Amino acid sequence: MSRTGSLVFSLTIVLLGVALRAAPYLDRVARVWTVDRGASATVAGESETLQKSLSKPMLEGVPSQFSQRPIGLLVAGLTTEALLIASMLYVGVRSALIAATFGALAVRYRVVTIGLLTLLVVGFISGSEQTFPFLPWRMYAGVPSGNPQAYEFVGISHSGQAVRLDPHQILPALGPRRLEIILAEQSASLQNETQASRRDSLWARHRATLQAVGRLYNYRHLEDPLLRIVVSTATLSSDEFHTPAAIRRRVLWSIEMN
Amino acid sequence: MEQQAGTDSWISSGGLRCVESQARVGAQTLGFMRAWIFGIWLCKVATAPFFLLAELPVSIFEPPVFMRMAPTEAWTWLLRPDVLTGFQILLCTCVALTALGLRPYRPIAATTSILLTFHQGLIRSFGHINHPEIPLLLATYVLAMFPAADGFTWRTRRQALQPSSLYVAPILLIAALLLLTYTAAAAYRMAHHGLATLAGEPLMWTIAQHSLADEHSLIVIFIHHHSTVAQLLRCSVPTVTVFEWTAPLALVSRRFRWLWLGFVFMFHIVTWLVIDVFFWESLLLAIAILPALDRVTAILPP
Repeated sequence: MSRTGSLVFSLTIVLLGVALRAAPYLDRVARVWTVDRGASATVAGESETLQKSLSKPMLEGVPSQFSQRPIGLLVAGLTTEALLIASMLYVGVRSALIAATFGALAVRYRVVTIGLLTLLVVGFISGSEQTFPFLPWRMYAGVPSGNPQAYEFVGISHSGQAVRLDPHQILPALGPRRLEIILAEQSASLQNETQASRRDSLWARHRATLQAVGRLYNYRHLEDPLLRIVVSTATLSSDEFHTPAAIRRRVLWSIEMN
Repeated sequence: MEQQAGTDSWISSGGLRCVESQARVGAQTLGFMRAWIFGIWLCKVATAPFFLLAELPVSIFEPPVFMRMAPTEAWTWLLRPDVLTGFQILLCTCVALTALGLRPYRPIAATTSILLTFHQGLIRSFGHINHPEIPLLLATYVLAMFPAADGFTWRTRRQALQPSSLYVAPILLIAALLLLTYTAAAAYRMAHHGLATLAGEPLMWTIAQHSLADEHSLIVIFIHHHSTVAQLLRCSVPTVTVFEWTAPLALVSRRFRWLWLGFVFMFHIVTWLVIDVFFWESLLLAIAILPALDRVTAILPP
């Protein structure tokens, strides 16, 4: 493929991703822009209502804002991300080996190749959990706010023994750490939720999940089954991550097995 | 001029007469990749009792978009232990048939890929979407669409071989899909969190969190008692990120391919030891696909 052709191909794919990522927010950006421009012509009440409506999710699954960062930084970041991916795509597409190999293929194979690559790259830039299996790869980027914290799930058995539960060992079909993350996310949501009705629904789901974990454990330990599961947090400040003595634990709640 | 000279020398050395043997090498290599990838899937799918998923509460079941077309009653029926066991047996059979390269290959492989996607979607319907199996899953799509059962099959048969590019292209494509996932992770990290990445802060935070999950981890205690190691880990983050970003260069440069293979092996082992994150599926794919790529590109004319 020619230099221009390679460049156009690489940029087109990443731009498609950028456009799809930005599309759900364009309406909101336009409305914010309109509010800024027309401030003098807008009565205070209308403006307030609009601000309230902007703070709500306008589309299902679209967060009320891109992130906590200023829009300028965000646009710069998105542009850089797209260019970094496009540059590597360009290097690949420009290669004589790749161009010759794919150039020799029948049209249907070329369509399949381009289709898969496009879905993958668009998924990188504009994907979400909903676009599985074409996902964004954003792991281990940035530092989460607050001190490192982990949730512990300890079962208390009929004989009074405390057993630290390993969710992966209990339900290996879900894959490593997946069940552990589900339980941790539920616990974190419960801790942070202030609205009573939402908290009740979160609590019901959390209790049902923990009881399921307990049941699965008990299937294999009929001689000494669990009576309840205690949930606690372990925290430390980020500069003392090393010694077990520095870890501070707090019991949050316990759930009885039925 | 240089390329023309290379082609002339290839022709004069009898290269054109070797077209069939090149195609055979390509078919064998692609067939090996088929057996390798579906073999890994067979180990994954067969070893974990799937029926236990029926114990999880339906209230935390949220299927991804492509699975939402099914009505609620269908899920209630599917999430029963006997149905889940039946599904697991069906999936294992399809994966085994595909790994062996039995005929008719395309329909079997396509069905297997669809069932694997459904299997992975079902697992991810319970609360959390993550990445470890994604490159391996995407590789099955490529294997289902290209003629991956012309070599390295259970029963050897006289098979009319296709042009060698049809065997080289899927190997290149699987390698590209795998390598681009590393590029994407690095690109996001550099573009959105460049300074924190340079300072190695996310890694230190993650190590600290891992020390909570496994407070008696010898590695974490070792890192604490050897501040030089901690500094080395912190300083390695920018280098690792650059290696991740430049991963697709392994497609085009033979020297970089082997260097990168060494890097990715160390990378996955260290992340496993230090933060207990082990993408063994990606590692197994990398250690097979990059040498396979090396093999098939060596048989191509200059």
